[in-house]
Amino acid sequence: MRIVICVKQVLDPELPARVFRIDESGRRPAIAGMRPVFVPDSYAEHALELGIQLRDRIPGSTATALCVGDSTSDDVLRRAFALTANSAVRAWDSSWIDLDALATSHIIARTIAAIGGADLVLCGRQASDIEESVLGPALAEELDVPCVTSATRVTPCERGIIVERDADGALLTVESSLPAVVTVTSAPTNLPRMAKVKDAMMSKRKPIRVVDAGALSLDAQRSMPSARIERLSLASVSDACEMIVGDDVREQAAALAGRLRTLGLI
Amino acid sequence: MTHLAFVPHLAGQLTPDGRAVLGLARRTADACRVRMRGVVLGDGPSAAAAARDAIACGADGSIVVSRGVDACRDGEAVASALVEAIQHAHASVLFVHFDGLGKELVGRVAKRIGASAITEVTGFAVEEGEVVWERPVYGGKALAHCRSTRPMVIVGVRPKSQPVTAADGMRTGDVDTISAPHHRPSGIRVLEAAGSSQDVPRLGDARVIVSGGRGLGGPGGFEMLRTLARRLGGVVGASRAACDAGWVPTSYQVGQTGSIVAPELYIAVGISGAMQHLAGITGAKMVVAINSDPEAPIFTRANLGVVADAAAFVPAFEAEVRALDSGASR
Repeated sequence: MRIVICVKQVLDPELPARVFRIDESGRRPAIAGMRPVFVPDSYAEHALELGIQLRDRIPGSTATALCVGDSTSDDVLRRAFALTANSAVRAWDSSWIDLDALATSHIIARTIAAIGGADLVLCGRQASDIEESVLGPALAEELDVPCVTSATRVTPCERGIIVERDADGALLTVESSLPAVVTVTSAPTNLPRMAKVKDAMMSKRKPIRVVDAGALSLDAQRSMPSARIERLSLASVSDACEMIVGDDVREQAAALAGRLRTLGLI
Repeated sequence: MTHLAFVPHLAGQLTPDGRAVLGLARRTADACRVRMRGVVLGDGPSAAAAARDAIACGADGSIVVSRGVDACRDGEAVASALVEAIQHAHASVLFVHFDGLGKELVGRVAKRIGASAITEVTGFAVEEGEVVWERPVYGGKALAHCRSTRPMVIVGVRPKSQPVTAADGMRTGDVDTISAPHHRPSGIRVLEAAGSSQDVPRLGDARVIVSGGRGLGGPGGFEMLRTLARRLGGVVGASRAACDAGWVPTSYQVGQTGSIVAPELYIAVGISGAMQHLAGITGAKMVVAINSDPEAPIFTRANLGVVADAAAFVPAFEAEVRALDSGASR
């Protein structure tokens, strides 16, 4: 099975609100007093783990990490190598500006075609920066294949794959034909593994294949972003927290209970 | 020009989420001076009732897409039905409740008709005659103001971001019924639906939620939260860390990628307050944080905070509430 996992770098989502700023363009984030810290997107990490587990279970399979981004995205592809991905592809062209999920899905679909196709494409259920939650279903439309969202587990079966998925709080088990796109949510079964030292060392020497717009026969319209962020504004910061104090736990508990009762909340 | 709002219903009754979507659609249509119609899937009296309910909740009319898509969770079938409704009405905007099904629909429908996709929308403004959509980004640290670059837009409305519209039975409007298009087989077959309704906490509609995180130390800690939640008439939730650790099922997860909640009272026990958790509780009226670490980020969002060990505090708090309850009943 040829498995392609879409990975991505995001601005560290845990950067506290007090250092979060907006840059002079008014359209992008900036971080006070430091360079922005980029980290691998969390759900994409779960997708990568799921893809690698599946690759290991099915003899003759390959796991390819794919990223749309400039050379700073090499870090996330090196990490995929360190977690034993077989190959890594980065699609980038300096003419791609402010891509949204719809445009990215077109570029990814054409990149997958350029590297020989895929039986299963995995991606995170949503990225932890812009949080569009559009890429997976849009990519399935681009590839004209089924799409299963919010998967926690994927196992191969005779007719394709069996997927356990979270459907608005209910657990559904579905069977899908291949090829397919599956978006992945976090679960105890797909927690990202730790890289082995040997694999981490090797990852620095492995080649990342880079493809640009010229190699992809893109449709001009579909590779244009469908939406544009005109500007960002800072969200209002909540009021200070009032601390409930007391000499011991019982006193604190009584104070909180009394307070919430007075407010009519309990 | 027409705007459409896809409104899910249960046996002819619009859900609160459906009403919330209609509310945003109505306000947008008024600002743009266009007609707004509800889109209902289904057949027979229940679909007709839902179509009337959509009008009562603000739509100028409704479109019923009939035949075989009743209460259907098949993204493929629903996407095809919505494309049909958009073409029937020559609509320029479609609003969709952005829950799990909505997340499947927005990207698909947008791709099929060449529309733009703007998701997690919480509000809008009209600037120079064009709609500028507002949506939180970067874990709620900023608000993005977005403009579509295409004539048609599919808007995913962020759950719990809108007030629920009250119905006005005096409102009238026309109802069109169109047939669902033949849709291609999705390639997906449901084998099993588990997680019965009583196992799944109804987080989205809960008035009180008691959530636990990694600070509970293990699955056992959730037992005292269940006792407390029962006492308060609430339900139990969890942080992503607790779900990922396997202490409780993922259906308990509260946060940007779990349930987005808006309870009257949210009690966070042993939850550090990761951004993605905080992004899911922005609608909570009162947040109480209980954490042994006074530096935990949860205290930046909480209204009331208690620095205490959860294992000691929660039973003591439950006992105090019990004492108040028995005092009140005497």
